[in-house]
Amino acid sequence: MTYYDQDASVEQILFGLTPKGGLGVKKYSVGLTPDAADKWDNRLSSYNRLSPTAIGQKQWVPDRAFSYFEFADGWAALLARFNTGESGRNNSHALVGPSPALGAYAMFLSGWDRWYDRDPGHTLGSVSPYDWQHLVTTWTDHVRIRARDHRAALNSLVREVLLGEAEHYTVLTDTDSDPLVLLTLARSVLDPVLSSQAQRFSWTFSTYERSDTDPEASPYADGSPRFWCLRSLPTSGQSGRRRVLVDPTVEDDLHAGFAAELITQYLNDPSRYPQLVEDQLAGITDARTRIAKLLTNFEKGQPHISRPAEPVVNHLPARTPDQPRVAAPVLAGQRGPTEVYTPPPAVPPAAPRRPSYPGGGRVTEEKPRKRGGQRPAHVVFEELGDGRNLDPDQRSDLIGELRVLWQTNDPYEHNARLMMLHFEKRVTRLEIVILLVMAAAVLITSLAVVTAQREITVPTQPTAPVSVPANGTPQSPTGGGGGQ
Amino acid sequence: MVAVTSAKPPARRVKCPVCLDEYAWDEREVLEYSVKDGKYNPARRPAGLRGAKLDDARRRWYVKCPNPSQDSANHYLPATLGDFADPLVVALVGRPRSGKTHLVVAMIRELLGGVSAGEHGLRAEALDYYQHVTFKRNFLDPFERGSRLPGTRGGSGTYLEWLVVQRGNVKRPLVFFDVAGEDFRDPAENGRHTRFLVNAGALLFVEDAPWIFRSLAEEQDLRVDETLSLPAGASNEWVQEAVSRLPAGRESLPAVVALTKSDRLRYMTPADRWIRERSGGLLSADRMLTESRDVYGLLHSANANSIAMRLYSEFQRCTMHFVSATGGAVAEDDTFPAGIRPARVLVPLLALFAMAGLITGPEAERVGR
Repeated sequence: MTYYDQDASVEQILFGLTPKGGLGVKKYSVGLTPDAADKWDNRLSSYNRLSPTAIGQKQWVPDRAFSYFEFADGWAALLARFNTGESGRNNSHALVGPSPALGAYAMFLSGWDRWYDRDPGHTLGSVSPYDWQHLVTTWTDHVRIRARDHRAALNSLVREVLLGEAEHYTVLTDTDSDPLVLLTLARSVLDPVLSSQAQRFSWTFSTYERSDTDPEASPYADGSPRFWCLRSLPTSGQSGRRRVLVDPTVEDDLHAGFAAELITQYLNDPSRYPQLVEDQLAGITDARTRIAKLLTNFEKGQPHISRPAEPVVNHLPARTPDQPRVAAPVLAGQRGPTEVYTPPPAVPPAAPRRPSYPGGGRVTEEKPRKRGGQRPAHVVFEELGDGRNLDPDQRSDLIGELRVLWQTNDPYEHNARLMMLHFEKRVTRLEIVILLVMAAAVLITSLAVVTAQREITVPTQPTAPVSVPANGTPQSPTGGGGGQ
Repeated sequence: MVAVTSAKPPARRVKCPVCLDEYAWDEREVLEYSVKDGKYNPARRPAGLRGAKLDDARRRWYVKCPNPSQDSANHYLPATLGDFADPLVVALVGRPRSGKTHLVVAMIRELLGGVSAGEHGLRAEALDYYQHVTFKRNFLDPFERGSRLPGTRGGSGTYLEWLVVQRGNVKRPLVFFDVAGEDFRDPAENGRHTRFLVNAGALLFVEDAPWIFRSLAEEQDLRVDETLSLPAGASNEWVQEAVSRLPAGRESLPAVVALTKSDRLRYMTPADRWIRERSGGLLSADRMLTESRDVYGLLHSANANSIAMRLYSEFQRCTMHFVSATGGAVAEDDTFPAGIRPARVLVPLLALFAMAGLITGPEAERVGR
């Protein structure tokens, strides 16, 4: 499909209600022919409506939504739909062009100042992607600032993609978050892993849809975006997509750990991250092979994450207090995954007593602290693991401290979370054991009491033991008197 | 637990309303729908499940359509489909924004529990359980709350709602197809989105009153549709395209023309009388004929070339009716300030039921003739 000169810039089309009464092309840029505009209308007609989603008792629709499509013939479209005009026959603005030109920028153009949510009243011209360079930086900064708010969702999404069980995903988010932030973060983390010079992973998406069971959501539909964001699950119809429920419940398995480490690596040093990944994957072009390679490296370095059912403490290498506890780095040849595995100071610095923890009240000796007055996770964990005589309050305080670490957006976050999960499991198991022991004790006591009662009440005249003499005649009871 | 096995021998042939293929109905492999995954999984049941409990479970089971021609995406049909005769497929046809969706939702709402339907001895229940849940969530509930329904998405190609309608001893499934008006002119997918027209058993043509009688368009109408301030054109290519898709012998299909948004004509004679008229549970072929005459006359006075008038001549049995799905125009906040007040939305359906044999009797035989 050659709509216009391959060397031309990206073109524009505005959709809305036409004088004939239906939804269609209202205006297009000078580089398009009428026939080309009609063909794009046919291609995008099933995608350009902003239908509301039923959420509870309300119908919800975003102010705007972005969708990026890449078609089999090499052309692409970035569609911005606006909640203006008539409901379900809204206005929308499409940028169309070769997919290499649009694909590099599609996720970064939400801040473009030339989106038109209605007819601007002037002629539309072609657009040069060169003008979008600064938008990439602006949007990337915006996204990184908000990374913390999307950490759990990002972990779920990255994990699902790494699992590689599907090519197309439905991403279920809530109405408060911007899926484009989440998708951009996912792209930042995953694209260095999935894309190579030879094979580009297509980051096609739609930030808002009502259902993933409609025909246009089918993975078999030409151009159907890979990531399809919903705010509520539809109640009927077949979905051909893998549904990713990005709620705070994080899976705790090898891929989740791997995803968390990649995210941490990215957030620690976004500019170096792509090169760190690529250094491990030189020459590998296939996405699945690239994941497998990184996963192998990760698994070698993270034995405790691959066996999450057991407490982490049991997997830490035996060491003396002055030996560093160092795990293999995630990306072999690079730095370690987090500071959790850096050696703790041999001698904790003398320091003033730390303040009480929220909800705690216990004051303990100060331990080495990181920024923000927080102690490193390993120190807290060490205290939990080694302090066999901790009372429940102390234990609760330490878990609370780990929770704070978990919620803090720093490199300790992931490992602190894992440690806390494992430790809580261990605490739970201990409690269960104690309960079982107590139950057994109660049972034994009860049995003893019952037995004693039977011995007391049943035989009022205890039967004397009868011995059988050698001649076979039993002896008569003596009556206990003896001495007759 | 055991896998569900044959409840009935493969006996009768059915025609799938989605892909239009005909095949022997086979209920040996039934499926359950998972809302969480959006997938249909093999249904399992306790070995002792029978009687009323089995009937209840079957209402939520599905059978995958084998689609022998292999020309459609996977689709699933209610397992109880085999219990009934082939459904009556009602096709809504009209230009974009003519009010098709509001009308069909008002009609289904009336069938499912309206007083007027009860007066006529009609009872209806959903056949496709999960599709009904979606229909209720996306259409019935917002409609009930007085919210404007969004324009229909293009390219759905599947039915909106599947009911079983009963009147006396006659029980028949009823399938409503509502597609975006734009789809009738969309050449994409070789017209697959509007293929249901080939299988239509009854045609419901929708023409909207403000489009024909532009001087009566209200301020709200002009606000949402600026084209109403322009002179009316005679052509209606959406309807023409749809009619051309109908199979041979189409002239014998039952057809009605519903003049929607007739509340805008409430001060115009004779529409004013009809829009307030109540049938009181009586089916009268004569009154339907009189109403058709009045609609035809009014259309003629406004636009001698209206496609609706041609339809009346083109189909052997056809009636025309004044209807209003909402009772008023939508306000700026996309709500109906006075709430939903449908008027006469059941009458076109009664005419179609009579012409299609769902309502029987000598009076029904005369409807549309």
